[in-house]
Amino acid sequence: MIMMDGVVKRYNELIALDHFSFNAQDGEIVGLLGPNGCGKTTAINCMLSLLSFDSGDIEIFGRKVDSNNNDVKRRIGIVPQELAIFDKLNVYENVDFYCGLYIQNSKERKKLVEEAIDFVGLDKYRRFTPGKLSGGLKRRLNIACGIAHKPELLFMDEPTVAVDAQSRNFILEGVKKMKADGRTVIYTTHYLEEAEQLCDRMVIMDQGRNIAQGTVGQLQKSISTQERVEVGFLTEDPGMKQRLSELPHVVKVTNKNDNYLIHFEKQENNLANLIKFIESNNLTYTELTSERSTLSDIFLELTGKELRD
Amino acid sequence: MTVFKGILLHFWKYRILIVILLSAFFIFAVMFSQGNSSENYTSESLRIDIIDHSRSEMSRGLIDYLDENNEVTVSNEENPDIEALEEKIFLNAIDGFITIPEDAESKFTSGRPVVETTADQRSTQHLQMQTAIRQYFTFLKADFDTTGELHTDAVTDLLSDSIDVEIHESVDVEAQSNFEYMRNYTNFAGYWIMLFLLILVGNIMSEFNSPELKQRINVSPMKTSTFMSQMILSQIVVGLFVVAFMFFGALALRTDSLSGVPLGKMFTALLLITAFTLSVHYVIAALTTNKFIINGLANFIAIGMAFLSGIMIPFEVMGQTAQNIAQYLPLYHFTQIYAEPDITWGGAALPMLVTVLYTAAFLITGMILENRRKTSS
Repeated sequence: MIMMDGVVKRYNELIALDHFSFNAQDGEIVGLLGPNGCGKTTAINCMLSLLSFDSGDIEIFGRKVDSNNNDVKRRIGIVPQELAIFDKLNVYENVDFYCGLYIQNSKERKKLVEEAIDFVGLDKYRRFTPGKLSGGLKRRLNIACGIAHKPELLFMDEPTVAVDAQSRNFILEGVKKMKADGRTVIYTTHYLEEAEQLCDRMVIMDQGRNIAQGTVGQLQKSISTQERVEVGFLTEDPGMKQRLSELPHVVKVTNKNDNYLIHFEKQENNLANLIKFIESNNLTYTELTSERSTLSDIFLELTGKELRD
Repeated sequence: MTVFKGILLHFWKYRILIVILLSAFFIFAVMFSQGNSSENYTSESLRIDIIDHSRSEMSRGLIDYLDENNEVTVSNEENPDIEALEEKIFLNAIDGFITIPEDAESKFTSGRPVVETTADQRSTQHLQMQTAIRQYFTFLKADFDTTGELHTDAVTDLLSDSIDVEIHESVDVEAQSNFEYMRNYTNFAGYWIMLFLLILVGNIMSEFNSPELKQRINVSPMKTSTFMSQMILSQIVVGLFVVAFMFFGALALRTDSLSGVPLGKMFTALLLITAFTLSVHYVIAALTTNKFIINGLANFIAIGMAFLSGIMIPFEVMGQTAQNIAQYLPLYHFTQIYAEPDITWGGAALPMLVTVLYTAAFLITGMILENRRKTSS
């Protein structure tokens, strides 16, 4: 459905997209992940032909992107990062206006507008102007304006920024429903939990480059740390860090508050080995937790920085 | 909802502001109307400066006649400071001044205009001064035609004994008064339309032109030409509404006082200034979406142009430099479309064409700026 190959976009000296490649198949939710300023929005704007690019190729629905290709545009929806709604129009009028840019038939449009308002749960607020809506409800309205014409391909650019937990869950459930309806969603975010929860595949971006892509499982396998165990002991031992690092599969041991954080390269009996080590050394532990590596670990290892930097 | 309906809906949301602006206009217009009614015209003592280069019996007779009921100051200077006298009119220190040329008598005998008057043409004092001078020369001419001699004393005595109101109430004077009122009204309406449309359309369209909303519109399959035509059409509808409101409002206000008024030219002028204003807005919209800047520019352009085009200050009392500048401003040409009560369509064609050309020039500039903005992204 989307094929982006070696796209370069420069703003004078700054390279916003550096030979960026990306693809999405029908019915997929693909997450574009990366910290603020990594080029996610630029990539979307290039796909939407809102921005020209210096080199590379982009195809959508098998056709090269072109700002005059209205047949392709008709099949695309966009939920921009910034709220793009009219302050003076109420909820119904806003959705109706944007739907009117795609659908000329008033009867059909009315039905679609009603469905979109219902979909985002704004039925009670249809006569409210945006000024009277909370931040979360405004975000939902922003989504309704982008999906009312039932696009096959939807770009959602950080749709849950500054949204309360209830609205966030509502939005995420809505995206899942759209996938169930067979739509393709390109979802940019820097919230990893969201991406893990929603996306079939993820593309991790940093400084305009695609540094890794795949499912969560594939991405986890691509890094050295597969499992992390945090352990704390009752007594202090200056040589403990060195002794822990000699356990099987240990990549590194770091300090976390008063505890030790042990990074394992494989998920094979790590906890059992550690417990055996504790028993054989007559140690008393105060805390012991184990977790698989997360997207945050993946990002940290791939880029050397936290995703929210 | 179409873009056309969407924009009109936005105007509807601003209906309170629209009502306030139109009401304010009409309150001013009604006040104007009451103050200028020819029915209530009364004469008053005028403050007149007279520059007498002639120093003839005829000029002395005119001075004596005017001095009867007015405060007259006579100057015999060879090179009077005309600018200082115009300044005195502007500051309301005098109501006007009369220049009597050296060859006044020969001009009188050959039937040419004898004296030159300068006053605020919008004021009733101007009308009163003109009437008094016309009275004097009408009687003097009648006496001269009968006797072949100038008897200024006799004419002055005659006029002092009784005031002939027939000249004052003649059809011409009434038509002139009607025209003066409607010209001032149309001047004011032109200024108001500029201010009104630049502020209202500017504020509404700044929302449509904001980058976030524009992005959504740009990714939609709606063609730019379709969007633009619907946008322009909706603005024209609003412009027509405002013009119709002001023009037909004037007709309602002055139902019995419309003789001698070139209504067709005035209506055309209002339509043209509306088109010009929308083209100016197009340039502003291509430059900025900041509402503060839009409002600032609207005031700057409308008030500045109104000042320099003779709408707020009589054109005649402006300095020569200001008058020269005014001739390059569209609002000046707007006023020239209905400059005379008996102006023909042929006579109005040139200022109409100039206004149309200004509109086209601004539209083209707006398109260039808009394209440059698009390509810069």
